[in-house]
Amino acid sequence: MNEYPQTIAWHLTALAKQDPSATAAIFPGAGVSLTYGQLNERAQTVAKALCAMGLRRGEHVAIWSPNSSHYLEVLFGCSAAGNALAAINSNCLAHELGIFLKQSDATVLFIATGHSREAEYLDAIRVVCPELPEALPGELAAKAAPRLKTVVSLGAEKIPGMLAWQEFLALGDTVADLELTARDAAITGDDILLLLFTSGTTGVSKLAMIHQSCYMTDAHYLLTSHKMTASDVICTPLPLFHAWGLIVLLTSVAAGATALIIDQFSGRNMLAAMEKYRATFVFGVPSMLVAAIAELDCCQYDISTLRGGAMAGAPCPPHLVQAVLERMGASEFCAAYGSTEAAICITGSYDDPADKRIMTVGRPLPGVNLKVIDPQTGELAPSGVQGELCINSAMNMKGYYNMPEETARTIDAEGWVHSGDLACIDKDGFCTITGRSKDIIIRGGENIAPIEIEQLLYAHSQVKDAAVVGIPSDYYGEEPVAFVILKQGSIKPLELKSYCRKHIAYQKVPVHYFLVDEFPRTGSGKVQKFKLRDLALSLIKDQL
Amino acid sequence: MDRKQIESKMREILAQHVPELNAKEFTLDTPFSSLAIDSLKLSKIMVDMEETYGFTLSGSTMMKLKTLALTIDYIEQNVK
Repeated sequence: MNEYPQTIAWHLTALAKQDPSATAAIFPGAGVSLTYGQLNERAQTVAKALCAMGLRRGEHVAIWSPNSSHYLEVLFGCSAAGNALAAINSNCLAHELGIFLKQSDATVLFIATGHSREAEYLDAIRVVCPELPEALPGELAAKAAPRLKTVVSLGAEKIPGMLAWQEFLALGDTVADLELTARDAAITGDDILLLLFTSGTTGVSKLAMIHQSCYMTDAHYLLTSHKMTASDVICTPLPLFHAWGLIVLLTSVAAGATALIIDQFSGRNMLAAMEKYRATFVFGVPSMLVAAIAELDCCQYDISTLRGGAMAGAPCPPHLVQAVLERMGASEFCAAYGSTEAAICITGSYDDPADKRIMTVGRPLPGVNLKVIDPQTGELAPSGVQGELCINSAMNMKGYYNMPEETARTIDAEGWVHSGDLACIDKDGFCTITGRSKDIIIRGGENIAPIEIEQLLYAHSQVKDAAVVGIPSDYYGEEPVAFVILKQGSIKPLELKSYCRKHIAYQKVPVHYFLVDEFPRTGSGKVQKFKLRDLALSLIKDQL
Repeated sequence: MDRKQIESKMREILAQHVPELNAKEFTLDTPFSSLAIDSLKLSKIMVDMEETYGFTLSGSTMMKLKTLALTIDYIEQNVK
């Protein structure tokens, strides 16, 4: 049963009516803050502009932007207009952007300008859509993204082929409040709100369809389990294209609190903002909290207002959770677990005993059912025995967009999402993540499919075979390394790294490259990646 | 390549990515964390270091290079 069936825009409007002057979000890097009243008004304007452009309910819109106030306006505007927002990784390169745009069937793209990577973004969109500079907004006909009709720049400057942000907003003037209200009334919590890209083991990205009420339901459970109120200041250095970043934002909105959204991440920037704005909660992936702890080693910050928060998105080392509790003074902090496919945060609570908050990812939040099964037989595993973690709740995704077979492989007939994560659940219901059954690397909270990098390496003229594995990283949790068999001749590892950097986003680029004559294989010829992982660790140890 | 040359090159790389860096106040032991280096700038500094010195770096290693002195030590040990 879904206790929060409304849209996220409905919740925003309710808060804006209740206390319009309360601060909804602060972006310390840009020096921008938004009240609930301002955010709601701007979101309504975005919704009207989308209606004026002729977008029908259910049509897809994409955004490619680092964290910014406009991101929030577009997100809530899409919710009010009933359009699904495809959140594109802000670090992606041109050919990845092309894939995402085509895969999402977005008719409108919002693209960030006025930031440090503006030139790269503009070059990338012109590579994907060379037709753009000559096209009129609404009439783009790009071969690489046939559904895309309009590109909107999230800036003031007029860029050929794009609508400037103010021009876009002005379109909404032709739509009456009543018209939007009528449209809004038809939109329900079952409408798709987000299309989130996830890495698949096949190397083909998938788009998880998340409905409107999913995140508000999760947000309410999360705020209850962390006892948040409207007076809290919730710090999130997470990117808004990431499910974890979105759910923390919406939890802050559900509580009527202030979201302190770090728009230029570094440990220093985060702690300085937490001190300045008196943050009471912090949520992040482990690498962000590693950076914060490292910063505390050399500088002092008054973050005494900090009370709690959670870390998730990647394996949470117990010593790091303990460091956040002790060094940052977040006495109610906990490790948590979630997945893009099954609501991003589904475990963890402030009032669990400290040892459980450190050593496990906690118990399931209300309304969430967890079970551990034997991955071979599908049978329920006994308490304390490792198996594949499965999740069932009203917050599960609707499926993967345009991928019924992949959906059926992930969500079974009884509605259980098979996470691909290995876990055990003790007799008291506390869950511990122990590994993964799928071939995925998690770097700094982002899932990376090794096969995508392997295919890229295969495409290099000198490479005969490639295998990519994840190795432990103090900072990112895991980082990819590549083993390569050459056809002939020689190549420097750095040349392979430069090659990868040209074609894939930096977080996917293997950090080290080992040239070998053969891979360890099973009798059936499958590469034994666990052996390569051990080999990588010994080779790196020798190097350093 | 001696320590002075490495220091000079590293100062050049840092100044390129952190224009606001005050060269006079930036000593061998000034924590990098006191500079306005976000994750994006860090990745660009990493690329420049790799291309200059011909080795590959991981994120974990970069996090351990907390000052210019430690960075010079690392480069000295790893440039062949």
